[in-house]
Amino acid sequence: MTSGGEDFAQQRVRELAARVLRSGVTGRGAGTAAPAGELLDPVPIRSPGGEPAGWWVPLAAGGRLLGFLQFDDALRFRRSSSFQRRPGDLASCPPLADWTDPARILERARIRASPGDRLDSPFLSFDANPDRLAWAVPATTPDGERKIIFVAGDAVYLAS
Amino acid sequence: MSSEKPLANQRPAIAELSLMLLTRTLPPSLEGARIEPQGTVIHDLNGKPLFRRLALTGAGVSGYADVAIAPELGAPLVAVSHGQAWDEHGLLAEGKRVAANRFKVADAAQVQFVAYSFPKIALRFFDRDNKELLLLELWTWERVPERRETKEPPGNFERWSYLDETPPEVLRAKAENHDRRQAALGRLAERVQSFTLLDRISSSELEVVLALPPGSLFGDSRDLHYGTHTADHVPCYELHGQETSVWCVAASVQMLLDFYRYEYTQVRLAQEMGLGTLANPSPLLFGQEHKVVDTLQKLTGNALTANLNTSPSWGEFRSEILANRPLISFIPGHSRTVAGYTESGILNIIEGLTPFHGLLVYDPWPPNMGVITRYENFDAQTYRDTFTAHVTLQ
Repeated sequence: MTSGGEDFAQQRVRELAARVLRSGVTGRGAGTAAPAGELLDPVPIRSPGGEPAGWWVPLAAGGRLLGFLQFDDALRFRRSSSFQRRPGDLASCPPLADWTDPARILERARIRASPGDRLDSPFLSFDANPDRLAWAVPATTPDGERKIIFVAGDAVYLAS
Repeated sequence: MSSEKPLANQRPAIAELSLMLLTRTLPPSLEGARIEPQGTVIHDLNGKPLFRRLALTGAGVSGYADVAIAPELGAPLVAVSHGQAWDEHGLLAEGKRVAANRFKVADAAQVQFVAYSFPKIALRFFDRDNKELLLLELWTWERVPERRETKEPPGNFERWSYLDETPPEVLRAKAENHDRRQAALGRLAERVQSFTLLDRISSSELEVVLALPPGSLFGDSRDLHYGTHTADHVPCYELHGQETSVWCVAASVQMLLDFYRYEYTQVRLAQEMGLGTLANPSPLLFGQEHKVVDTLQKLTGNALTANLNTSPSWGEFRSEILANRPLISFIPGHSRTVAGYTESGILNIIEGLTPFHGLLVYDPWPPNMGVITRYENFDAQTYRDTFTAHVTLQ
């Protein structure tokens, strides 16, 4: 989900991601053996404090997350990453929902939540460095204490 | 204004504009911006043509590009500005109105745009004998004072000649640089057989040229091989996801040791480096980087000699990969390994331009999975430390 102000940037990121794929930089797409997968909608990345920190563009096929492209907040290409160990490998790729379905992410976060904690909507964030992408789930204890639960695929832990 | 039409000479500078858009040096909003073909000639204070200002226009676009006429400016493309429109005729009309009303100069025989204090521009009004009547700074419409008789450097609002007052050796060096760059950009422009490159900024034109044939974008690439022979299988490297949220260093050390056929678990490596246990893990603390070096050497019986470098450079990454050796790369808050590199072939076409530098990164994040990053933009990353290791024959 993006706010109205992010729509333009999201569209721009979508175009950039398609262009990066076409260029062959990633080893995917035209002229390469690796399947390109389908580019999904760019997702904004925010720091755990909520500041904009770039964009994440998932690449998916067959319900699996093949990899992703990442851009920084200035829309500069940061990296293209793959879960595939080698061309055609799908076994190493996580289920797409692990990284894109808020309901599943919230469900995972409950593993680390305490009884009575109120969980807010997850947002894509990072732990310590933007290369350590994780969904951040803000949690509030019954005493009003706020904390962040990180969900990175099947890894779930409290922010230190 | 000038009737010169050196479109062929402008082509390299316009190619550079498109290249700057492709490499995101210019904002994407300039994609497709039209370039006014003739532009406005801006003269040096000594009267010689200095550069040509070309208006950039289009939907939501206002700006201009300054293209050198005098090679002594140092580069074919002197400057690009976006956000402020260039309206030669409007400025001339406004300047003439101010000259007549405020300074009583209504009968000038000629008016020139002049870089009175490069890159600041004024309108210069001449009489029929080619004598200056008035020098009016653009936009402020203040009269530029007469030249002071002093050897002091010029002040903020003072006229001086770029061509006459810049030291000759500096002008010579700049002219040589201009000619080299003009020739290199010209070679790029020749590869684009489209007229559109002359009248608009278009990264897609260059994208096609640079991306075809496949692989031509990359002038220099190398991944880790099984051995140093190019025919050996590649990439000879395996990814390990970190087994806890804080064991990126353990996973990185594991990947590097794996390459040399030393198999250790992350639990064992964590024990060696004091990173706790699976149930109670802890990160490698700042200041304990030496433990990586110690571990690499100890767990290989000193078959590996490891080194820590606190000033990583592109050259180091490249030379280690060419020597077929992986590196551990620390970035703020994280550790990964590097198993390859690529360098954009743009360098082969355009001298002096920054090429794309990419690293093949085996990243242990996210936990239990990791990702293979092909490629990481070297210029968009902050590198803290690298750890290298090489085999030492006893």
